[in-house]
Amino acid sequence: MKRILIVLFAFSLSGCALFDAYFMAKYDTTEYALVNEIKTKAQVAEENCSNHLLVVTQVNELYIKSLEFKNFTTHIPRNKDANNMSTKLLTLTKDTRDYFNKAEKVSLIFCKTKLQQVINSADTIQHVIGSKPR
Amino acid sequence: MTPEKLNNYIIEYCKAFENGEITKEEYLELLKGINIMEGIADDAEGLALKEQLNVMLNAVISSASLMV
Repeated sequence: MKRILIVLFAFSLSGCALFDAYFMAKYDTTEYALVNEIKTKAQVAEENCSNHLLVVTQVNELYIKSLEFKNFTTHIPRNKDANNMSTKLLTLTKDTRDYFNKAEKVSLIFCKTKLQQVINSADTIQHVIGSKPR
Repeated sequence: MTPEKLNNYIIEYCKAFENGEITKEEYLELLKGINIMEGIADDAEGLALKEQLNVMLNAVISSASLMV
């Protein structure tokens, strides 16, 4: 049923969309490794939420890694979707970094929830990047 | 991201704020984060669809080349 729906969808698409899908950027090991690193760093930071100074250092690293991820995806041809996601993830980590740096102290729940947002988003991206065609 | 999931996040954050577990600024910051998460989920959905279409196109091309 799902396949039929996809075929029907494919026929309803414009030639441009089909062209985009056929020539989309292939799976890239570095791209996958970068988003995996972001997710892992966020998981480690979440574990250290009780130590504000340590978390601040780790969210700074998280931001740098996200910037690296965004920069990496930028000039790969037909990679607009991944680039859009990396740009949004960068915004999320930048907001997190700015908030943690500005505040003298953050609540434990906020720290864990905010980092959970980064983890979930990185996981979503990792899933689709890992499913790109080989 | 499904509307249910989105709603659950908002309820969870709202509860934490009402219970005094997070400040107002933190609450607003979390809501801002949901917005970005939603954008990422939308983009991911689009890319996943493109990936499925890519698989289908390759299958069609492969079977067509076998027939020739």
